[in-house]
This record gives sequence, C-alpha cells and structure tokens, in this order.
Amino acid sequence: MEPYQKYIRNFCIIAHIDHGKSTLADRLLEKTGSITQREMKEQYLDNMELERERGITIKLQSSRLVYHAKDGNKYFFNLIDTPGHVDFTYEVSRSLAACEGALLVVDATQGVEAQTLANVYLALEENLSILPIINKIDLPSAQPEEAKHEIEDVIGIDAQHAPLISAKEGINIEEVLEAIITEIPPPSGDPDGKLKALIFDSFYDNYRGVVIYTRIFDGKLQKGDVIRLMNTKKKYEVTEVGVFAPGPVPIDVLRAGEVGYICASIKQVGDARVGDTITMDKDPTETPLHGYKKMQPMVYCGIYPAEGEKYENVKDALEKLQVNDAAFLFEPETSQALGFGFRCGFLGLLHMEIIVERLEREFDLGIITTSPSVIYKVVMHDGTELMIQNPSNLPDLTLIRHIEEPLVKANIMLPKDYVGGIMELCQERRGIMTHMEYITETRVVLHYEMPLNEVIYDFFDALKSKTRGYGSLDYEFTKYQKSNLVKMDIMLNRELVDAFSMIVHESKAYQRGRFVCEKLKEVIPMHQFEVPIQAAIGQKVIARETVRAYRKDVIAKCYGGDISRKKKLLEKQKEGKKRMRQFGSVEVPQEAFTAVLKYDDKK
Amino acid sequence: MTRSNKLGLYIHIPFCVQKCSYCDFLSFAGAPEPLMESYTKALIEDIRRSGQRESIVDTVFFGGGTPSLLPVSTLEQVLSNLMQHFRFDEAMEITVEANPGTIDKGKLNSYRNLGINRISIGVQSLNDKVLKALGRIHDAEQARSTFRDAREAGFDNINLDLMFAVPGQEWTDWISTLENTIDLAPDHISFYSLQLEKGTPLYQRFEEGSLTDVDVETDRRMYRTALRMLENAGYLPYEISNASIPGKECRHNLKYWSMEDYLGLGLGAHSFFCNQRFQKEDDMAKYLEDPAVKERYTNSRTDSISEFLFTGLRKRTGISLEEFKDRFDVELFHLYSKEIDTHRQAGLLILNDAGTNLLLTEQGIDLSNHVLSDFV
Repeated sequence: MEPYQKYIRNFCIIAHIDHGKSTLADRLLEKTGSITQREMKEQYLDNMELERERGITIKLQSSRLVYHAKDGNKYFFNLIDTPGHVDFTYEVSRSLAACEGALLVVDATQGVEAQTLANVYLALEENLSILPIINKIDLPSAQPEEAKHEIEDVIGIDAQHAPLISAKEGINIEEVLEAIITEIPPPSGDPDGKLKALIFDSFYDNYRGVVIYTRIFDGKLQKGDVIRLMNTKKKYEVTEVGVFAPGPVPIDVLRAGEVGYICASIKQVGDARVGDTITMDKDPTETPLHGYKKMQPMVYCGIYPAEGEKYENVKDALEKLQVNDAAFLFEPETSQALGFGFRCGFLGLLHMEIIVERLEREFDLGIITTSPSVIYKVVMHDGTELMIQNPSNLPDLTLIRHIEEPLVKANIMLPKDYVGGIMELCQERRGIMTHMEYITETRVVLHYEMPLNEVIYDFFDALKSKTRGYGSLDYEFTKYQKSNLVKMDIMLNRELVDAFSMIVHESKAYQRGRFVCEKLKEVIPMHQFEVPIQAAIGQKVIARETVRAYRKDVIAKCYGGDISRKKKLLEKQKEGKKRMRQFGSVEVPQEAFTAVLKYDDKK
Repeated sequence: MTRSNKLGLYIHIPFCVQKCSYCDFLSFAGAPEPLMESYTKALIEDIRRSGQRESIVDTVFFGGGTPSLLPVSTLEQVLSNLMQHFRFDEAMEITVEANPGTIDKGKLNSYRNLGINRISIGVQSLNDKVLKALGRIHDAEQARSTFRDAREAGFDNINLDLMFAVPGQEWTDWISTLENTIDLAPDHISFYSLQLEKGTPLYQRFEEGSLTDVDVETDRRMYRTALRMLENAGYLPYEISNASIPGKECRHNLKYWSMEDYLGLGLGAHSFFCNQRFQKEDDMAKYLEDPAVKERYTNSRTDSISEFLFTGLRKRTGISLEEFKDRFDVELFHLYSKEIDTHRQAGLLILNDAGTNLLLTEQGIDLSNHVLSDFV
C-alpha cells in the first residue's frame, strides 16, 4: 500500500428509502466542515427538486470529506452516493465497485427492507466491508436491539458494535466517522501501473461537457493525458481532473485509490458509459474492469405533445434529458390518435415517471404518455423474431407463431401479517412463488417469478397500498418465456384509438378491459350523443361501457345584469375543451391516459 | 324589441325576511331598520354620484333581495332621487320585485301612485310542499292573493316567477303549478330550472346526500312541457327562461341580453355603460361608507363580441346578423364559421326562415353552455 492511501476511505451508504441515507450524508458533510450550516439545505446531496420531494436519489452525488480523526491524522473520505431504486440496480453495483466499504443504515423503527437487502448483496458481491449503523434512535418507537438482531440474522454480519445514531438530531455522528476509519479498509493499487479507472457515473455540464465520476484502481490521471474508454473504444484528451468537495475543485493528479472527476470534452453521457474502464491510449491495460453492461431499457411508452404543445419543444427537451441519461432512449413514432410523438425507453417505471415529471416541471411541457409496455419477443411462422415495444406494431396474429414476454425475479419483503394479501396479489398478477423465507419472526421475504408486464402497471402501488407502506420490492430480469398474450384495443364510438392499445395476458384481458372501460367512462365527459367505450380483442368485444349523452348544460339564470359570472363559467368550460383531445367525434381529456394506469383500491 | 339606445337602471335592495334555501344572491335576512335606513342613505348617495342627464332612462328595475320589504316612503324617496338625477322617458317601465308575505293591497296601491307599473312576484311554486323545500316564507294561497291584489290595484303588467327541477318536486307538482299559474293569467312568466349553488343550505343538503337532485331527463321534460303549455296559452317564450303575452316582454331584462346600457345602483350592483362593465362595492360596511365602484373593466372588441353572442343567443329571436355587422363591422359567419358550422350540423344552432338571424334550437337551449362557450 502506498503511504497516501492509508488516509483514504472510499465508501457508499446503503439504505432503504426514508431510512435516512441523505440525512446521514448531510450530517457527515456538516461534521467534517465540507459544507457550512449556512449552505446546508436539507439533504444537500439530493439536489434535484424531484429527488428531494420523493425522498429518493436518482442521480449519484459524490463528495470528498476531509476528516481530522482522533488519532491526529487527516483522512480523505470519498462518499459515493447510490441511487435508491430498483430501476437503477446496475448503477448501484458500479458505484459499489468503486468503494471498499459501505455504511448500511437501518431504521431502528423499521428494520431491514428488501431494497436494502438487495443492495447489501450487491455490496457483498463486490467484497465490500459493511459497517452497520442503526438510525433514528431518537424516535420513541425505536428498537435498536431488534434492528441489530435483524441485521445479524438476515445479512449475517456482526452488528453488536453498530453505532446507534440519529442523523436527524446529529447524535453519535462522530462515532460513525471514527468507525469508517477502523472498519473500512483503505484502498490499494499501484499509482505507477497502467491506468485502470472505473466510470461509475457521469453527468453533463454546460461548460465542461460530460463530467465523469471515476475511481482510479491503478495508475494516475492528469490534465493533458489522452485516455481511451475501453468498451466504447473512443479516445479523448483530459481537460480537467478534480474532486468534489462537494463542489468541483480541480486538482493536479488523481492517483490509484482515489475518487474524483475528469472532463475530456465528451459531448454525451452515452459516450462515457457507467461501468466502462478508462485507460491510457498510449500504454493501455490489457484487462478492463469486470462488470460492464450496457444499460437496456426495460419499459417503453409513447410520449406525445399535448394539445397546443409543439413537437419541436418536446423533442428538444428529450434530447436535453438524453444528454444526461444514458439509459433513456427515444425515437420518433406516429400514432393515428395522437399524431407525431416519440417512443421512449426506460429502465423501469420509476425512471419513466421521473422523466415524465421532469418534462412537465423543468421544461414546462404539456405531454401525453401512453400505456407503458415491456418488450415482447414475437416469433413469426417463418421463424423470424421481432422485438415489439409498441402494442400497435404487433403483426397480424395469423402470422405469429407465438409471443414471449420478459420474466423477472421479484423479491418482496414485508411484515408477515400482510403475506396473505400479497400472495393473492401476486397470483392475480400471474406470479409463481419460488420460495418464502422468514428472516425474522415477523418479517418475510417472498420470492416470485413474475411477468414484467404485470409489474409495470401498478404492482408497486398495489403492494404499498396492501401493506400500508411496509412492503418493499426488488426485481431483476431473468428470461423470456412463451406466453398466451393478446392485443387489446380500445374503441371510442366504434373507432379504434391506437394510443390505448395494450398487450395483455389472455386470462387477464377481460378484467383489464373492464377496468379500462370503467375508468374511461369516469373521465370522458358526456357528449351530445352516446359514446360507447369498447375493449376488443381482434373483432371480439370483451367489455363495454357507455357514456350517456348529455341533455342539459344550461344556466338559466342571468341575474341583475351580472354577465361576468356567466362569462367566467363559459370561459372555464372553454378551457376544459382545450384540454380535450379529439378522437374522431369523441373528446377525451388528457387525464384519461394516466387514469387507465392508476391502481385502484376498489377494483 | 329593437335597440332602444336608452338607459336602464337596476336598483339592488339586499334585504329579505329570511334567506331562501337555494339563494346565493347578495342579500341579508332580518336586517334591522337602522341598517335599512343607512342603506337608503348610501343608495341615494350612489344615485347622486351616478346621475347623469345625457341618456334617457326608460326602464327601472328594483331587484333583490326583496324590494317589497322597503317602506313605501323609502321607495318614494329613492324614486324621486332617481328622477332628480336622471332624465326619465315618457314611456317608462318601472318594475318592483315583490314577494308574497311582504306586500298587501295598500302597498300595491301606493306603488301605482308612485308610477310603478310592473310587478314581478316571486311565486316560485303553487305547491306548498315545494315552497317549503325552497324555504319560502309564504304558501301557495298567499302567492295567489298577492297576484289578485296586484291586479285589483290596477297592474296590467305582472310577472310571476316559477321554479322547476326543485329536489323533491314531482312531475305533477310542476304541471299543476303551471296550470294554476296560467289560470291566473299573468302577463309574463319566468321559469327557472333550479340551480344548486355552493354555500346554500340546499346545496349542503345535496352534498350530505339527504336530497336527490332532479334527474336531467325530468328537468328537460319539465322545461319543454312548460314551453308547450305556455305557447298553447298564448305566451311567447322570448328568452330561455322568460315568456310573455306579446308586447309584455320585460324591457329592462332585454337590455341585458341585447348589450344595451344599464346602470346598477346599490350594493354589488352590476353595470354596463359606455363599453365598460363595472360593479359597485359589494361589502356592506364599505358600501355604507362609500358607495363607490369596486371594479371597472373596459371591454375589448373581443369581449364585446363574445358577450353580444352569448347573451343574444338567449333570446328566442337570436342574433341579427345585420346588427352584428353594424356593431362590429365584420360578418358573424366570417368570424366563427367553424364553430357555427359544427353546431348547425349538430342541430344546436339554426338560421331563422328569413336567414337573417342565428338562434339556438330547443336542443341548443338545453346545451347552451356547450354552444356558447365556443364564442367566449
């Protein structure tokens, strides 16, 4: 080990949503003086508005902290934040790969959750030292000893000496900082060896271009070096190296064992892919770091400009988002019902929701999203295979030999009281239980094999609702499997609206069809004529509702010459009409598209 | 019914014996006499400030509230102030709204002597059960006798206000109210479909679920049946909710629907004058202190066009294409060809036989908001 490496610790924080990861990270920044109280917003590291609102981390944030330890030495801590959602498992695994250790934060009132467990397993796969920390001990319902036992029983690591802290109240943070030094090993690696550095994240900066977060394993990097990205095989000249403290601070050189950033005039984050290995162009390493995967979208949906919104504006915004998000794909497509728009690919549902919300909030766009779809493998009679992610593109059924759908392995962790309800839910979603384990007396993990298309609609909402928020879910793709799938179309006033088409399992078609028809009936306003809403498979109608014709829409009174009141009412009505989308003769409010996707407790 | 270019005056009297269960108008129940006196003082100050002698006034309308609650002397005081500050036409229409239970033969005789020549009686129903549901202070017999008293006092222009689609009102209740009203032979009948307004006791009961709204089919059947019965009895429905013996249309209300000038005097009263819409102070304490204009808005051309259309289409004769062109210097069909086409095809708008006027069909009346909202 090089002498300087003795004073470096690279670690991340693993925690379930709401267990206090961001608060702890903030507290560490504050205690080490990396940010002053004044700069301190709640949860500094979650700097996207949306992230703060949802209490989750989407983009990584990393920071170098300087800690003056009790042993009199100055330590450099590199805190690597990890995204906190199942959609971003790959990104999590790459940021873990950049560390020697992980702080495992467990809520003393709730214990270990599925997402935590999944990430702990990832960390163990990367041979990380795990430092358990029990948080929220200030709460009256805290049961720190229970939480310790759970960690030992479930994960199998010693938790007896886990610091008991309250990140919120700033209790025992010092103990965490000291434990990081003693429990997490320093990095190793040869600063004079051939350069081998891991990209564990990147983002786009208007001035610098793509900024790469990197961990140097061997060798060193400085301004002027010509680097090669081993998987994309592209060459760049380094324009800046530095560390985040937490703002970017340029430094002269990054050496083996260190974590920092580099800039190299890269234009798209897609060119600096997470997991790729950086080496010197002149003197490259022979073996890239293991674990590189190109991220593949799992969920697709259509995004269309809403009434009055310009196609070009949506396109510009999508391009801007893509610059910063290598996992997000889009391409133009056309819908008969919605006109020109885009088919977009996402890692998962949350990823999709985030992009949609950013389009609406950051870019202030009016958009319509169509039903999300997974990618189906369609095997034709002539043996050719098609990958279909837009239900409208499904070929004529007579040409199809069979359709395959993606399956996932889903792990659901929940209090045992809810097991019955969730098993019912999973069965209803075509899940097959592979096994069930009691991790403590009261907590259970259910392992299911389930079609992804059953997970993407509203499974998570249903799980949360049926477990009163205590259930957590983690899933990963396993394989494609032949399945009895059909395309269900929706017709309004006997005209097919392609944007509502979806691929469903035959056994679920009736139920789904009924649900969609009922929902549409709720949101489609009355027209001058009756509007039949039909769900059909091919020519066969499987569900039907009718929006009655309206017969009265009149305000008789117009009193005392008060025109303004009447005018306001008419103006409001006109505004309402603007939000409608005309499909043939039927006006459909834009909410209709989301309404058919929402989980409904009553249904 | 052509444009008179003369000014209408609306005088708001915001006092009632008690608040009806459906009412969300600006009025106070059980106001003490001193408040009425201070209000009269403020109203007279309002009249004095608003007074002008350029236009000729040909209609005055005392609305409320319950104007018939005012002592005759007060009404006289207000009227004489009006005459002092405005120029009155020779052929005046002076209407007072009167509610059964607040007026007797003596008062009606005095009204005649003051020059009041039109009485609008808030009958609402001739069914005691319905009257009770509406929270009226009178029964059907009192309403009848108020009408007879007015006739005996010499009024030859009497309106009776009716309401249908009242929760709890049976189909037969409405038909008998109509029959009995027609039997009384008033000169003018207004018939409003009850609107549940937020903040009213009736609305609250509806929210709580303790009363069911009349279903839309019944509501419309009640409306159309009323039209037929009134037409058969010689009344001409000249506006969505108003019918009269020909020649006895309410000239004052027609000003609202023809975009003619009117000035509103009194608490929260609305005006349209010289292309401006404005409202008087609607906070009682503030009005008493300073009866000023609260909000003033100058209509843009677009405002005026849309208002002309959505008020004008309420009239049975609809909108005169020629008048539209005169007023706005553009052909109506030019401006709204798509909207008019759509609604004509849907059978909601038609041209009259002569092709001079655009009007709502009967179905168009039922869906008038749907049609009119395309013109705002």
